[in-house]
Amino acid sequence: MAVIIKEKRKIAGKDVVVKVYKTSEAILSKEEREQAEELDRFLRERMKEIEERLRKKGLLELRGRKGVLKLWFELGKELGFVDNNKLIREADKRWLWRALYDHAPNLAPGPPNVRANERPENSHFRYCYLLAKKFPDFKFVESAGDWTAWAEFLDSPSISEEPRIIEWLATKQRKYAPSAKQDWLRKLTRAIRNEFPYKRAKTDTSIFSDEDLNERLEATYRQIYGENEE
Amino acid sequence: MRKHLTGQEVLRPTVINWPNEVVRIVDEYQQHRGLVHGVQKDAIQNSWDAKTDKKKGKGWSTVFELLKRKDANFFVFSDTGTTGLTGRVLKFEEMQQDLPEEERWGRFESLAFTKSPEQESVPLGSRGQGKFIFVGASKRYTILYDTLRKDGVYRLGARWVEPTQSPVYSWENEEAKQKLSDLTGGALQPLNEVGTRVIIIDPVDELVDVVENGTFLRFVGETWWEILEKFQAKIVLRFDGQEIAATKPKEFELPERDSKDYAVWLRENEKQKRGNVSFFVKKLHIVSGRRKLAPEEIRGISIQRGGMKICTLLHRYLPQNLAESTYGYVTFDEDTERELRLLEDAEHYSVDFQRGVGRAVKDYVIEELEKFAKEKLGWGADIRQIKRTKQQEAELQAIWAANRIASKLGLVGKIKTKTKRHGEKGRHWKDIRVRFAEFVFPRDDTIRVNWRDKIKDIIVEVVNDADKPISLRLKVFVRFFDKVVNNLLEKDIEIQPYKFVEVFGPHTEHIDKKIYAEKGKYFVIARINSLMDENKGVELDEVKQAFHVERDPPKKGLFEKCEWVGTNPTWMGTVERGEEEGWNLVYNVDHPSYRASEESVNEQKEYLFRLLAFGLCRIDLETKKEKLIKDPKNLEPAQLAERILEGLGKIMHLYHV
Repeated sequence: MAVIIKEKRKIAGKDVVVKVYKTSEAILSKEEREQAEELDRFLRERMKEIEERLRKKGLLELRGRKGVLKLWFELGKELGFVDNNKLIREADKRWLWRALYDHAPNLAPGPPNVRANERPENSHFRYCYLLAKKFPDFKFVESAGDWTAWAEFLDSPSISEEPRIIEWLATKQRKYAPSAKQDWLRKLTRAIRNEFPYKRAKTDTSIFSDEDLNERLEATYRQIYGENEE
Repeated sequence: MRKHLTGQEVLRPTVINWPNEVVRIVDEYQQHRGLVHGVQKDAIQNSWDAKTDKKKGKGWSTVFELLKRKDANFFVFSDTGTTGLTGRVLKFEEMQQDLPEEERWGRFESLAFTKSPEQESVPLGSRGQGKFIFVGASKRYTILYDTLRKDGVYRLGARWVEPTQSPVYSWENEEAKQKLSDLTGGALQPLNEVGTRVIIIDPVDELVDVVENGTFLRFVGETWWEILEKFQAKIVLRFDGQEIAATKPKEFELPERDSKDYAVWLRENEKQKRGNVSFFVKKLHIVSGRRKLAPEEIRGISIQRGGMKICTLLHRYLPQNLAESTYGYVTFDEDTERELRLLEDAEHYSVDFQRGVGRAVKDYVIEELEKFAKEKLGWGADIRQIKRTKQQEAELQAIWAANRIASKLGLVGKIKTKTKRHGEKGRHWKDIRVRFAEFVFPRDDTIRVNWRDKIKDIIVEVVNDADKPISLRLKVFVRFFDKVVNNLLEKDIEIQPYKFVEVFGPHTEHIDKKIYAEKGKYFVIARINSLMDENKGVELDEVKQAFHVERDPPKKGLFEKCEWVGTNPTWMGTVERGEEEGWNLVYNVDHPSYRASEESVNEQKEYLFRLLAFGLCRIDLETKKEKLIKDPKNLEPAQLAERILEGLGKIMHLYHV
């Protein structure tokens, strides 16, 4: 099924905003066009409702301010609806993240940037969704770092797609009070990225046994915070 | 041009690299059924064309013979019941004219100088490049040919290939007999019956092997079953002291009635019309084995012309079990055969089914196959789905048609083709790598698979060209976008230095709708990651092979893809430069004409094609190719509009005719 996004185009010499049907298919059938339009209507309604709920909770005011993490976390929880929705095809899900900018401009930090246009799977709405899905405990989320730190964490597939690293990270929650180690996540993300690189030499963390992986993560941790931190 | 010369100039001919030319011709045949298949097809075709009893081929025969001698082997084929190579030994100037059928010797010695097919009764061959497949089947690029004619003239000719020419020479009567003995070391005697013989000196190993393992006669039977059966034509193979006659393949059983073993579909003497093209079907005979599959080479409906199988047609949506058990043939009257021949390729292995009678015949056969499958094989359930799929493909068809016309008009620039991973010269291979053997897809010419199809021979090998042993993990899986849909293997292996191991397969992947639920492009991926301490987990190499489920892969051409936009309903669309070197069609799905066309495949295709036709005019102007609109700079706006309309007319004419 296709997803409709809005783009500025030059048509007959004039700049106009057009609806572009994005799909992984080579063709757009009538059936698919109609489903895309249905999805578009659905997203418009759903995002309006979400925005309204967040406004009522007073969270929209946090946009662009310190503490915005709470807003994006709550938005992420709301975005859980994209799972198991019959109107959204796995292959076209990436375009859905881009379409949300059109339907909920007040729920994004700004208009879609180049990255959101070209790689929407690495953009704001998906990070919100991933954060709430993978770390449902906001206390922990808050204790680990701010939104920038989390965005950096979610940007690294070798880390964010390995459930054992996420589980390990969650265990750290018990050991630190929320105020004790603000923003430890950012430092840790960088160290884990070095340990399990992805960009130049892709690392497959599933190669490591649970014990092995845990040992490496702990060693990385100790490297940053020293032996006495625990 | 010559009128501009004084007649005193010394003209230089264009130099042709003849060995390369022969390789090119052999390659053309290799793309179809291979060199040896081509040898038998062209040999019998030439001979059957020259039969004296034009109607039934009474007294006609062709004998193939493999002679193994100490100094050289010979592959020989000779015919009787034919006219022999009649006519004179022509001079160079004479060879440049169209040659009448009687000048057989001259035709055999020239390349592609024959009368146009419209003017003759329907001979099987015509373009004359077939003889070079015989040259290409010789390790020495040399053939001899001799003929004994009704008037008693015996003539021997020779053709060989040199770097810049392919000379021929001939001898007659006593001199010819002596030369034959000299050139073959006495292995062959002059002909004693009217007919023609071709002698391939030192045949390539592939030809010798195929003769010895029995496949050669199978090729003959599969290609020429119709004349073997209808006219009791005699085609034999001699080698190693044996003589074996070619017969119709036993699996090509053609029962006329339904039984517990076969479902049968017959149509006879039907005048048919598709669009504005009429044709006459003498017989359409479709058979489906209820209990067994048909061998690959006979599957599909054979398009017959003059007793020869040209190629086969198969319904692309037929489930694999039905596709693999369905076969048959279709024959036509002489007029239809003549038109079909104009659409054949030079090697007589394919027909252009995109236009004219080719398209009409294809539509007819596919429709009949569909009816047969529906009525006799219980294939009703999927028909609605097929209709929907066809509708979806209207857009692709419009693009393919526009690409074909763009290429015909010379509007296509250089199209990038993907470099194959295997065999690329100068490629730097990784020391430690993973590779696939070639997958076997259910259809020869495409990586499309349908639900219930199988992809066979998935084999993964890991190579260690490093000087130390390695330890790694191999994962083989199927991915659809970011999602792994099927894990085929996960295995830890160790490989010694300079060794390779076959770790997986041959595996057959069943395209199960439950697993491959979404239509589109999937990849089989094989990945190796290090298990060694120094770089544990790091990816060492990855290979992937794409396949398309229930979709045709995109074809290369001027137009790459479509982009669909919704905007002001008065705007129809345009063409824009694509990401590669081609163009994209951008069209407005909110335009009322588009919405109206969505209801019918043909209307939608026609609508989109008209937009693409306009796009072609625009590309012609923008790229300054002037293939459609000449000298646009010097045209007034009204004249330009007139010329664009002319261009559109020309494109639409090519599309419909």
